[in-house]
Amino acid sequence: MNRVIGIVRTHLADRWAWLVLPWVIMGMSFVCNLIIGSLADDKIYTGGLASIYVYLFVLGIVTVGQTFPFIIGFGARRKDYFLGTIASITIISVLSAIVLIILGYIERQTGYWGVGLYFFNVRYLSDGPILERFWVYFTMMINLYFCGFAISSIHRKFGRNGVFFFFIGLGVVLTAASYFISKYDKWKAIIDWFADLAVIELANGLFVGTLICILVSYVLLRKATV
Amino acid sequence: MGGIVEVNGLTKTYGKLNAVDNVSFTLEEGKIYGLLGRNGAGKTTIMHMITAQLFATSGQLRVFGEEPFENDRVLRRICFIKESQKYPENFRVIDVLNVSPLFYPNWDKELAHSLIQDFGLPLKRRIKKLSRGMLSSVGIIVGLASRAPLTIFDEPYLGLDAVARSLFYNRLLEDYAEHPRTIVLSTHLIDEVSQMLEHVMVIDQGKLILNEEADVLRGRASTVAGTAAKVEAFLAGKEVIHREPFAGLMSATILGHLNAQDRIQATELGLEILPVSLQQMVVHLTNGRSHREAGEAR
Repeated sequence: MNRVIGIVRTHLADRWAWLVLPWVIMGMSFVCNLIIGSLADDKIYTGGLASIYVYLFVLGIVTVGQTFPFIIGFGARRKDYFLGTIASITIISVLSAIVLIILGYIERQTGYWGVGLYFFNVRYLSDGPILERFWVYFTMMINLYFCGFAISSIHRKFGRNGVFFFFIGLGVVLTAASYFISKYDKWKAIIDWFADLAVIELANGLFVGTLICILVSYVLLRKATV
Repeated sequence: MGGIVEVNGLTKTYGKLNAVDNVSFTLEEGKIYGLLGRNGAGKTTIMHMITAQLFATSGQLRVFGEEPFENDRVLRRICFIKESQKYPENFRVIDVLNVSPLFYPNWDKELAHSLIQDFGLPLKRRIKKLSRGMLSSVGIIVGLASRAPLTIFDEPYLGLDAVARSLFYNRLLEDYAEHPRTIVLSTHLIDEVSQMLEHVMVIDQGKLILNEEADVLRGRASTVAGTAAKVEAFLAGKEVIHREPFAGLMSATILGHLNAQDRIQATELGLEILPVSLQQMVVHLTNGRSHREAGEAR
């Protein structure tokens, strides 16, 4: 257990990457939108919130390359590295989701920053009650983080070619899928299915997807060398 | 006292290349070992396998009596300082010192800070901005301050100047005297470390070709010099690892202890006998012309 805490502290020692940069990036997006909002008369619905999520995806990719060789080189077990990484991103995602909810509250109280900017209140995602909103924000964060992490784990285990083949394989699967969907004329059914999906169902699905990414990454890193 | 590392028939192959070829040895507690050999001989690969960072193709490996892979009881007792150690991009020297105790239970903070002073490292500087020599001293500081029961230094002083290297040797011996532990030094600067080593292992092309107490080894090789014909006569029946003819003269290096009779014979022939340094011996053994395995010529 001590080892896991040690690894969390090692991750978070890089405060810049874990605590500062996500908010700097989202803050820049927010400021840009605020300026636009103050110039325009209409209400502004923006996807600027996505910036923090994109950053977490990148952070997931970067984590493996940055910390796996370091931490394993310092004599940690791969399993502890893994548990420590899961704990780190869970802490960060919980805190970030809470901050986003608070910012959403401030946004509503200030009349959408006085300029009609809907930055932290995104239709569909933040429509539900507070716990549901929290779960949606949280699962999306860990999902994107571990998508990045899994891709990077493929790189660690199989090198650059492994990543190439993975994306070639993925491309083939998606192409074949879209061919068959067109052939059997199912596009409408699929789009309708997504459209009907409640946000909580989406979040639960993402959570299951995250667990799969975690499992795959663990299998890959368990035998990866430094 | 049992061995803390027991390696038996350890082999690592990359395709057709045998990076490590059927290597067996034991490391005992409380000794300073030298793992010597040329670049690419397989030294680093062996150490990576001992620390479970690489996986053996075949062979047995026991560290502190257990399998090291994913074994925290083993791993927390090892500190492996390698030349290629990577650090996270944003880490500063101080960050490395702050997280090290989380990995090494015996960490001595005071020692670490006094070493920082000695090596003149800037605490707030990012690791990636350090010079090669400074980067090496970060590894040395972690290795010494970790006080791990098994501390392995793999080429720890790339880019370090002579002053810093002798500082490293002094601090290592000082701390070793107070806190005995097993230390493995892998290096090519053999002459510099030869006085510290208690046991020497030489790896060549993945094979362990020499595994001997340093004291035994010091008298093991000698150079004989004289006129070519007389030297050849003297060499008959001995294991010659190096011959260097020069005009009508010759000097040859022999492996094996010279007894009193040999010395009398040498004097009668008018030959000169000189001691051979550990470095010269390793050079002769690993220059690709002699083929032997540890255990031969004992």
